[in-house]
Amino acid sequence: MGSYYEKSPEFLRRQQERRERIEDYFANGGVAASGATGRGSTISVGSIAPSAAPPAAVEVQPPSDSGPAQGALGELCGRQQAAVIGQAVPIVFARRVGDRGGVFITPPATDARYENDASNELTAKYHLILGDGPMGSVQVRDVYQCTCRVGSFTQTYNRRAGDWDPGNFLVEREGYTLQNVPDYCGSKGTGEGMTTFSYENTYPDGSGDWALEVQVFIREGRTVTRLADDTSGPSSNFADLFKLAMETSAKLPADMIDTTRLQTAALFLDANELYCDIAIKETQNLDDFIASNAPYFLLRETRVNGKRGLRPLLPIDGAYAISTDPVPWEFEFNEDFIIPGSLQVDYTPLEQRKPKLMVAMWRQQPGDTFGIIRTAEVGYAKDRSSGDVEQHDMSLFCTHELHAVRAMAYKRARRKWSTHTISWSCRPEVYNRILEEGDIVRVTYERNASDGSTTTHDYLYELDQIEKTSTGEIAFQATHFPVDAEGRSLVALTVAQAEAQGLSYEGSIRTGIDCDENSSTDTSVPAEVGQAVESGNPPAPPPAPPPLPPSPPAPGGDDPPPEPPPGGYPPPPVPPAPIPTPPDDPFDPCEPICTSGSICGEVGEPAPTCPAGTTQVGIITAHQPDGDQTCVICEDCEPPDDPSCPPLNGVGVWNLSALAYDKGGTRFRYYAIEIPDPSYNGSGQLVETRIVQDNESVTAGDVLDWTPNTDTDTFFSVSDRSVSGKTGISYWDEDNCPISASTLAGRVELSRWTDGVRTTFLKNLGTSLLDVDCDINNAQELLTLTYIGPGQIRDWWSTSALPGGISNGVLTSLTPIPAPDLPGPS
Amino acid sequence: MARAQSQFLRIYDAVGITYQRWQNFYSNVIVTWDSASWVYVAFTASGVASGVTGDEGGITLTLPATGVVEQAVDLAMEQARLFEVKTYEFDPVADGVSSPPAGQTLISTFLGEITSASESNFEFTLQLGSSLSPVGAQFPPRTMTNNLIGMGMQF
Repeated sequence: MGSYYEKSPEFLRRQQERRERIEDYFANGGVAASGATGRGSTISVGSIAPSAAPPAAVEVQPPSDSGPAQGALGELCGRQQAAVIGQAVPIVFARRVGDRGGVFITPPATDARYENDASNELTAKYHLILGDGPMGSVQVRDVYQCTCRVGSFTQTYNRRAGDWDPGNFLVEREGYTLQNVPDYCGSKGTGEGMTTFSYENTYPDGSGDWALEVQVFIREGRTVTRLADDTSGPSSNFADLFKLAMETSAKLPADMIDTTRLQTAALFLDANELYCDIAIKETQNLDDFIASNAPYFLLRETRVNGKRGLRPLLPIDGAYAISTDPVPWEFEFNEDFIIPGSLQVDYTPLEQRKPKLMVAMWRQQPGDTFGIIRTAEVGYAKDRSSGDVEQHDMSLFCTHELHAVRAMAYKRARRKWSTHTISWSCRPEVYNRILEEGDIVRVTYERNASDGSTTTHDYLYELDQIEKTSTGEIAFQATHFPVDAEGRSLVALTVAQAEAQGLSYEGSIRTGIDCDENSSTDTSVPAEVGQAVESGNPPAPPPAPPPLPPSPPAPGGDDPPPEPPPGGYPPPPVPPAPIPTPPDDPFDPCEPICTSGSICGEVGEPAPTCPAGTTQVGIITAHQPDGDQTCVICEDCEPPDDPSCPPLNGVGVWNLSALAYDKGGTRFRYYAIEIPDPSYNGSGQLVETRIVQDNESVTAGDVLDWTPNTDTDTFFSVSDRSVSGKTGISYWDEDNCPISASTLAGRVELSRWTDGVRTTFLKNLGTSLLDVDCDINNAQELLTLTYIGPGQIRDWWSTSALPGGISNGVLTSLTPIPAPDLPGPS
Repeated sequence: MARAQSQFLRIYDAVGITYQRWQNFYSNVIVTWDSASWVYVAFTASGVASGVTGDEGGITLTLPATGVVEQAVDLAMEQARLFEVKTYEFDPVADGVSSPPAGQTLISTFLGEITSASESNFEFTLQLGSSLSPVGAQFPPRTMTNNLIGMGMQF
């Protein structure tokens, strides 16, 4: 034995027990027929075939310090991503110690809330998923939006973080442009079994930063009971991740997890600085994940007696470090044990023996930005000139250069020194119970050639598989375990001697960034705020956003806002009364049943407030001679009773269409388009075209020639009482064609008429809502506008473009509505 | 020295409650071993392979389709009970065949769940292993659902 056992009494005790078992066996007559003992021993010089003299150490190419990795910061400023149903709940497994470890994540948002104040300052709140299971607390210094430490947050586990409700609550502010924030803001989930995160920040008028991704640097990931120290907390130990996977994914009973071996593996990983800091976002096969990654941690998966575990690929000493002492073998097989004819040796093919340079990609993980992808080149002198390179991407989990170097050194050394595999069968003997896969054994036999000469095969092997058949025969498969003349593992020597270069790029990656509002040294953790959402019920739809007042003219805009029609708006009905659904309305069992009415304030007084239990959906301002009179429209909706109805999201999704206009400002035409199937997400079809007030026939697809006259034109539209769709034409400078959807993202004013009362909504058009085909006509582009917002089937709608939105207004293919019901200007 | 092998099968659950103890060598008797009683059931177990190569490394268990066995198998599949198979070697000439000898040698131990089962010719054939490979466990195991995150938002 050697002094290397002295550091671990437990290791020594286990080894000694094995020895004693063998000694007992032979002491009790367990001797092979020939008298061969087969007992294990350390090797003596020259007793077996050494593979080589002590190996030259592998070279590790130093990286260049003149060109640190670029581009990481650009990834910080992407657009915030939404969580998708069916997407994996990520597992963030990390533990930062010193200057290594940890992982930057961009958590997906499940829902959001948007509000603006009188100065149009936008407040955005995002509910984010950090990861599955409990995680360590995030510090103030570790939360970013884009590259800046800004905003506030709270984190919790097993419930929803924050105390707010999702929704779009933006209100048009006079003199300001409304932000183009999402209309689909999501709803609350339970957050069961997940670590959730609520992020909040404010943005000045006109800023688009609300859409930037939230970044979180995770210093302490998933909480587990660490195998190495039996302590609950974050871990970067692959053995802990393996055990977690076995428990959560495979649902293996505790008895089928080889905790003893896993504990040894965990201590081996810690002792040799092999760490795992990873955010697993994509679902993958567990077996594949383990089989492909375990070798990078110098581990092999074991399945002994049905139990799953991990075992180091290299010999270890009592301190669990890589042992470079002579390797003892557990048993010696010779002709007395090997069944004649069962032995077979397979030599490594040429392709696997050729010189090859090993290159590993790993991640230098600063504490304040995305990891910098680095490479470690490992090989013997002749490998570099061979031109053959084998690359391994360890950047997902490896944040320590020495780890990458050791993993590559192992692969290279194994490839160089291990020359063959062997298999043989034996009768049952003592090894039935003392040998396990991964053990080192010695195999010797004499070759008797036809010319009468004899040679000896004498090598050490590492057992890959032991098959114990029901007939008692034992079949072994093993891989050559190369040793030098002193009996030391050549692979272990190579790995132990490999050294990292140690060059760090830190300090040069984050330059010129001075947008932090939170301190880079603030290690405090905000108070935990969360709310319990009842499980099992359908998610509650977000509240309908409040309506917007009529849009004021924007400074410098080219297009005029819609003017009141001649004679002004019809006076609001007084006193307010609920408006029942017209009896001839097509009944849709999936539409919410809503009633609404208006309440008017006194002339010159502020707008009244809607009664409790109702939602304000509109504001009407009538310009009276003595001042303005403001009315609010209040709505009370009940969700549909039919459980088979699709989720309403609190609002319907309707395609809006129709436009009426009068060139001279003296006559108005009213058109509408019916959609037979007002689906929630689909676009309807034109089903008929009729004219209302004059006998002019307009068919779907007709283009009405129109140039807005800011002095006299008032354009608006009305629709049928059914949901309607809108197809419009916008005029563009053909020299500027093609246009893109992003350039069309603008605003359209919608007017809603209910019993002669007009309510105006200012709608933002998200780029995803615009269908643009530039090739239809170089001068005219066909747009499909989809309105997403509050409304009722019976409502009347009109549209117009606003400055900053779709230029030159919108024309449509039109369908009139029945004349008697037409509201609008007189 | 003569050699004989006996196998002892224990069915138990994750919290350690044992439901069946069977052995296949001592015909039609109940023997005492390891401080417990073991009932004779004429089952056979295939060999055990351990290692990283090849498939799951499970074993095949064949049992007579008696009422007791049928009930035990049904419950084991329903409640994911564990099967522990231990194979012992001993000298039947020296030790006799009436009861397990104190010095018999444990050759192998296998622990697994029923990964698949079939019945034919009044025999149950059970594949024992772990559910990891055959079923294809996924990692991470959970996906986002409406219950967890609501309806989801769109940017």
